[in-house]
Amino acid sequence: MNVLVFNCGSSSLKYKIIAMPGEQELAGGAAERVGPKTSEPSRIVHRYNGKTEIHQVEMRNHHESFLEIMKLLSKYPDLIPDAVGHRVVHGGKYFTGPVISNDSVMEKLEEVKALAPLHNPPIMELMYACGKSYPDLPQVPVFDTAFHSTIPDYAAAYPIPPEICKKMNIRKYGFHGTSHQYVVEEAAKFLGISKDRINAVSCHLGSGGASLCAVSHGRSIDNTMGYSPLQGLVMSTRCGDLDPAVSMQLLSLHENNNEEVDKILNRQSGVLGLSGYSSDIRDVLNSIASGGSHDERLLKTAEVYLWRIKKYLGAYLAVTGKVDAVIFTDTVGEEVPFVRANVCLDMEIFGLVVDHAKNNNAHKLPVDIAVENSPVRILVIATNEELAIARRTYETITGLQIKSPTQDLRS
Amino acid sequence: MKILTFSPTLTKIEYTLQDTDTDKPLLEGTVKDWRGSRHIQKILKEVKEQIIQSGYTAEAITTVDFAISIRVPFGGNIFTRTKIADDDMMAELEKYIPYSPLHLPPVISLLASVNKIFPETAAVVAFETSFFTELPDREKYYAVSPDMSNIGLRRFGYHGIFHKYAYLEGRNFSGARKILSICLENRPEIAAIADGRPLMVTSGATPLEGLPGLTTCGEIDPYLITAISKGMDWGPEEINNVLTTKSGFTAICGTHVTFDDIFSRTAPEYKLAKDIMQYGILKNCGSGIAAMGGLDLIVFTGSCSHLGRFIGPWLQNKISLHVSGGIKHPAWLCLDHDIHRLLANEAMEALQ
Repeated sequence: MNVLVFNCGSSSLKYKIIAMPGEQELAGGAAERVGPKTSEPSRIVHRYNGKTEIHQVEMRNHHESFLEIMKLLSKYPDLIPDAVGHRVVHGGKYFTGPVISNDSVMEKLEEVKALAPLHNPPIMELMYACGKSYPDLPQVPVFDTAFHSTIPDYAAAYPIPPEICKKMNIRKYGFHGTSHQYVVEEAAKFLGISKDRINAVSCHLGSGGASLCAVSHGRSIDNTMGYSPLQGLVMSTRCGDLDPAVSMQLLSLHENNNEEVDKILNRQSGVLGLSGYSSDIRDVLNSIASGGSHDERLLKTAEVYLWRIKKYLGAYLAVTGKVDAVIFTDTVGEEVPFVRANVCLDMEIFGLVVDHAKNNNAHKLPVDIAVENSPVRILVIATNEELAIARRTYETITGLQIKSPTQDLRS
Repeated sequence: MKILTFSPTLTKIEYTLQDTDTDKPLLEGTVKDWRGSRHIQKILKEVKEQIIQSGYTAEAITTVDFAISIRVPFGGNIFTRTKIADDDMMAELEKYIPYSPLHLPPVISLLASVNKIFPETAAVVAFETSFFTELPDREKYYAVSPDMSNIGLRRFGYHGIFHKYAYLEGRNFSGARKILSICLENRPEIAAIADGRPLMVTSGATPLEGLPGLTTCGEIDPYLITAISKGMDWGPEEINNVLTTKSGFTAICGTHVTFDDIFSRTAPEYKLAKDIMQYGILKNCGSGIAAMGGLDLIVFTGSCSHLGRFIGPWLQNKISLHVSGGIKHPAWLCLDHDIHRLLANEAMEALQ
């Protein structure tokens, strides 16, 4: 079965064709600069058989970019999709797992659209376009929030009046679930533990968004993000945790202008707000390493960024109990050994001891960077959300589970 | 030594007369709706009268064996320890009103009134935030533009007097150096203290952040403020009112509750409240252990410290520490001094 996976951004549409259940990536690419005209023309960058082709074509919206991608794929007989998997950021209260799309699913998605006003609408536009042009092609939305639907009420509830929670569907939803689930399953394979028995803390450290997830018996039990992706860690331009009184003070200062406050906390804070230099923590760390250590603002940025990760790592190690592994993934988690070493420093009390030579040479992933006798393994695993979506799509359509090749070696 | 202690909140002021040689207060009282300078002076006159009626002469109140100790919730960065009140302190406190606009004005009125009604009695001020002035930068600052930090935005703790007591008693009890101090007041607060220095605390720029309280929401997604503003069409005042007076465990249980209710009742909403509280404590204990790189002792203080007898064993079971030779579970200790006893101790220390 060829699964066409779409990962829809606000002005881009990434895709991959993956043959399942063999998990062979046949082709991939991205429609770029989708939407109003920009300084450069919109285009599709297509990778197939080791070659990269660039097709310049006007794409005013995601509907048009979808049609252009399908037109391109139709030229290659082995790339004809049998099913489509979509990354959907928010499933609200309705979706605790992937489903085959139909009118009822789309109605429910319409209901929860307001919970992710930037992310969900373009995905839905794409799903409508696909349903209209290819009514016989099954579509499976895979939700970032679904993996976190197992977070227990005591960790998901916000203690505010129930009438407000009910009216606005307020609870901790958590995000990055597709990635967390993928790396936890890969960690289970790597360690020879069945995926429904692994206990772990997954650190998805992207160059933009980032979150930690506590996992017990393969299920998410907490995530640092909350009702929205703003809560939790310090991110590129998002503030993460903030005293609610400060948000209220900002609202008051800006005369109830919600959009202005959202802009400050989502786009002008985080690493960018602290450093005033770059929104990418790698730039800040590189600048410090290359002699900028006298810059107090950069040092403070690095300290606050790293400590917030370590603070939550300690929290989640405590709530998870007997932990098999701490997992680092995504851009910063995979590529920056200093971040991994720093957040695991002085954490022997939790059973974490980094082997610095292994950590500094963690290029071929997955890899275990803990010292041999570290009670808890420390893994670096490349995330692959598209493959995770392909797996969920295949499982949903066929009713078959993708089997882990390993047995549980602990039993 | 006799020490008259005052612990004011927004809605009431509690006072006691402590004898440092005995455990029980010589007199105690509470006055609700105490704010307003004329009203405060009247209250202080009545307290003075009570003291005289209980056997002390007006002259005895002015001797070196008598002092006044006042708890103040916020002292900013400048008041790093308990101090004797004077004109300079009053002037400095006036400057901090914008950072604590609800709490400081009545406290300043109280200090002025104490000076008027007890003009020759030494008065000391114990600031709840003093213990936290030296929080590490990594814990102190939020990930926002420094423009906001420059105007004083930073994290504090708001039960510093209890945390200091927890550390000193914990050290005396077992020689512990790395202590998790869990203050079980109406707004609970956890601090991680290593060698006397706080490294982590659950409260924030205000006491609203952190663990949920009986009526306060605690830590929530910062986006919820604008989301509620949009969804409910409310301004910041209405949101503030809901998050500070109608949230927390009152919202979970659907009625006004105490922590004793939460730990003794079995209805599902009380069970959920207990689970939320214990989970929040466990999670923050994990952060505190990460901050200290270890843990020697958990200490419970505050007016509900007796609940430590339930929470302590639960935490002990949940927290596994990797030490040489295997796994260790942390020890815990409940302390029962109330805030007035600690205010008396603070006064003794400052006057000495």
